[in-house]
Amino acid sequence: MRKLFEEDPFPNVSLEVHPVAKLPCQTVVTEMVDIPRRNKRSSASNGGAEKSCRLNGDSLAVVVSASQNGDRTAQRQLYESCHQTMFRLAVRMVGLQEAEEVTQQIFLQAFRSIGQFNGRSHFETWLYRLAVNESLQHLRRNRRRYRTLDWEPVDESHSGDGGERKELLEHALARIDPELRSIFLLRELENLSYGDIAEALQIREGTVGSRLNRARRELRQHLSDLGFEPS
Amino acid sequence: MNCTEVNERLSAYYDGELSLQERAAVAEHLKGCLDCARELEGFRRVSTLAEGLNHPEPPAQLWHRLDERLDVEHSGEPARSTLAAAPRWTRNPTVRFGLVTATVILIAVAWLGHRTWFQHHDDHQFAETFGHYLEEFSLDPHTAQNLLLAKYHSQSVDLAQAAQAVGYRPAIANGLPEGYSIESTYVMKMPCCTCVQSLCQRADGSTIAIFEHDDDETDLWFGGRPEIPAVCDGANCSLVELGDSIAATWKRGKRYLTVIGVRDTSEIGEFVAWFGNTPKSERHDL
Repeated sequence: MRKLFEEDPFPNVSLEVHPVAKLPCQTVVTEMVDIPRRNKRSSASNGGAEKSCRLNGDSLAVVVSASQNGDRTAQRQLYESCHQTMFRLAVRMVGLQEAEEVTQQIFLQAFRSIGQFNGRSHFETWLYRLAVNESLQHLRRNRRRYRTLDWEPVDESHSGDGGERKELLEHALARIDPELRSIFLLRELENLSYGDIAEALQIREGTVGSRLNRARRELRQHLSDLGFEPS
Repeated sequence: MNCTEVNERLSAYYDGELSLQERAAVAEHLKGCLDCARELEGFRRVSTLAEGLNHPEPPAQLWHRLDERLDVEHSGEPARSTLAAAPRWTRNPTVRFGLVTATVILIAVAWLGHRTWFQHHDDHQFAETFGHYLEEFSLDPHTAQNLLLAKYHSQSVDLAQAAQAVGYRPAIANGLPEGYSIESTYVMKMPCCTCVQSLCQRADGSTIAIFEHDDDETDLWFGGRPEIPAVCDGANCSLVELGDSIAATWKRGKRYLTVIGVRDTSEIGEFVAWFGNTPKSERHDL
């Protein structure tokens, strides 16, 4: 489980249990000030979520360069390095059933246009851009279908409370605007900095913040509507 | 900082993306504001849930199937490009003809040479603000509207007051095509010009915004986004793609109309036809 905080900054705050008026105000005050900052790109180690493409530095440059020349072995190396990340993102963007098709589209598109990758941005950021574009296009093409179908849960292991909560989050994610969903996933799942998200989605860093605000508030509202009562 | 300012920065605070100074100011506010503290706690709880998501493994045959598709592509099947794909509305023959015609016109205009992009600092700031507005508009037109209202001196007006303020009878005074209604109208003093802006609703509740303005430098409005010339219902229009929707600008009499959030060229054509190319309203200019 990825650990965002070294210690719980709100040990005495359980908002859903205690009426706000009864909260020990001074306690909240003390804990709030010391909230540890999340690392911009701390390593992810939750539930199988790995850091994005495993190649880096010189080896990535060599493989990208060979891929630009159509070298299938190099393309496979790129695929092997990044496919888990892309599949993970696709699952959360379009659902498990469609994730394979979208992942294929991401790599097909990547290999078609890799000649345009000029190295001015991180390769991962460039690939994330393709992944989000392909996912959004897929959703647009299948808009009617996605409107009528219920979201298919990925976490089917209802082992206790945790499984149900994950499923609720999946439902909540499915309910928010796909563009908000993509930005939330890039931050929460992929742990990208605002700068990288801005570059990947070609929006301003200020917009990243405001959209994340909206995504988190909408998710929290949907979770509440779905009956989520956090412990 | 007040609650509004803190709420705008809350994700950036939570994600460690604020400057030290801003972070200290937010932390100071959180000391005494339970509402904002609860909001922050909500963010943390959503994050905690997201951390616990499981991530299914990709199918083992994924590369094999991808490899086969790469072989097919290599054997000459035409490739589909996402990044360079032409929007569907540009595939219409009329639009294409319009694109070619209007491109020639635009090139000629560009050749004659007028003003360049971002001549002044104000221009640059305006482009930034309007770019932010457009990004927000695609998600939530009302948040986008508030952003403009907060940035530029604006006055909520009825149509008579609008005419009084700008010195001409605004196009919106003609009403809107059937199925559309005016939600609000403002006279807005933007760096480019003073314009009349109306938020309008379709019958399905979705929103578009209509600006009437003197300024024709819409490249500034659209912050360098590609502008595609087209002919819609006989009017030369400049179109800009905004995610799922389009912004369109065309000249109407002495001024320009820019509509944000239109769905396709036929909807633009409907507005062009409704407002008319040479307005009778000009006879009523004050």
